[in-house]
Amino acid sequence: MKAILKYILLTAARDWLFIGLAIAVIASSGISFFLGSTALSEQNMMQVAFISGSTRLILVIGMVLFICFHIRRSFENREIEFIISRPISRSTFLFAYFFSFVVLSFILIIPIIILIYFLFSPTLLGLFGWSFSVFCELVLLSTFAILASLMLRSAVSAVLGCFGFYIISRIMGYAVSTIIIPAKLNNINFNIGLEILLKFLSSLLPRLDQFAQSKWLIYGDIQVSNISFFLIQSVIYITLILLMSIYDFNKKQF
Amino acid sequence: MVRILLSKDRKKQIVLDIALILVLFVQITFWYHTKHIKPDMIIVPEVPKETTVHLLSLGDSQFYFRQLAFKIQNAGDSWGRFTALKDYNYESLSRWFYLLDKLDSKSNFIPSLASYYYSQTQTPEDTVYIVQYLRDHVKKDPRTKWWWLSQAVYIANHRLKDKKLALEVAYELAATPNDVDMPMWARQMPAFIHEQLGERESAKKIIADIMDNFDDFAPGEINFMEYFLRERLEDETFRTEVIEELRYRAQKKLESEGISN
Repeated sequence: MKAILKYILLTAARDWLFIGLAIAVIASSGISFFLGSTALSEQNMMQVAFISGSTRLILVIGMVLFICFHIRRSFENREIEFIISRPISRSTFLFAYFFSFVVLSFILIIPIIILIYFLFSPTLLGLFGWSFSVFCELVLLSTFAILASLMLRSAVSAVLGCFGFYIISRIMGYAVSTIIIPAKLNNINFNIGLEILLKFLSSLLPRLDQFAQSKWLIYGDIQVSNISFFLIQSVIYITLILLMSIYDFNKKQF
Repeated sequence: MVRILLSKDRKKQIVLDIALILVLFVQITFWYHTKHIKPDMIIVPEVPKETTVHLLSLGDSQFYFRQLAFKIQNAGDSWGRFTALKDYNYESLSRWFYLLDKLDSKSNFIPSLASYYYSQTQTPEDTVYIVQYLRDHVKKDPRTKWWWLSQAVYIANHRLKDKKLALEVAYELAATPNDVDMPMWARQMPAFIHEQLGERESAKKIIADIMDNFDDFAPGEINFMEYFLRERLEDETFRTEVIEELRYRAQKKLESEGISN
């Protein structure tokens, strides 16, 4: 497992993931500072909101792109075939990959936490809640990216699939809570069908709309229930995705 | 006549070069005929539905709130424009304020934008939307938002010049719970409006009411009340009564603090 972790970190460095994301985060922070400073009032809050939202998106995009292209490239170069020809079970191999991406997510989130803490001094609870939820979100997306890369033959499809999953997961929570009210729609028969379909889809997707709320950084109003919500959701969904990945990987013929 | 024989590849290359030049020429011609088309420069953007806004926020309503608030701050002044406030559709603006309050009613950004910037319109009648918005905004949390009611009173009184409306709002401001740390001038606002309306008895009643309900007056507040009663209400008897009472209370307070020390 250590060898795979070192290999992933080396590949990340070689693919300019750290430098690329650092440049992107610095650029977005600069733009956020500038835009926030032109606000009529609450300049700090504006800057915090812009930085937190943009850096979250940058990290998600960076991780998804790196994981999808890395895994597909490993398949194409037959690196994965070589590794699993060694005395290492497929499950262990997948866990090693998963663990490596967890470590990578942790390494990427640390500079963001330091940046926000030293520039804006938010409440510690708010900062902890936001950072931990972003970390959980990154790990969840990374796990899904592993699954997508295993299932889909093309890196581009895997990336697009991950982005689609991310957007729908962030929308679905609110969509279900408004659309399940039959009065909102005109045709009652259509309501029931759509309601059932949306509820079914929603049950299979994580509630990412409850993760990484910028208001926790600004107002510090995060409850223990919020933290336990995204922690439990992350554990359940990551376990589900990992099991699906193991199931798919075990069935693969090389 | 010399016949120049060209190879197949060379002929293909020539055709490609000609095609490239032709298409480039077509592009430049197309640009020439369409360069006058400008983007739709509306001043106040269309107000989306609340459901749409929540969906587009992708779960992070605070981030989206700040983006939209920024958009409304700069509405009409994009693309190098500077638009006079009289050209804004204030009814639309007001709907934007209410919509953004649904994303974040805690923030003071929208009320400050409304009261400090958008109230400066060259069409004072439009400020009625600002006053109504500020009144509704404060109802969400009167204990911490009272300042915006004082702004609403000022706008209604001096911009809209509707003293009846200003008085209504001033009474709402004065009705803020007594334990809220609010300066006396805010609680006395109905008295100022009554005085401007020539209703001196009503103004005195407000002052008397405040005297009955509050004990702690800063020296600056006492001085202002003294000025108001002397110069504006011109009631020497009432002034003497009030000031003597206030001085007595201040003295008692000093004595009790002296004893406790």
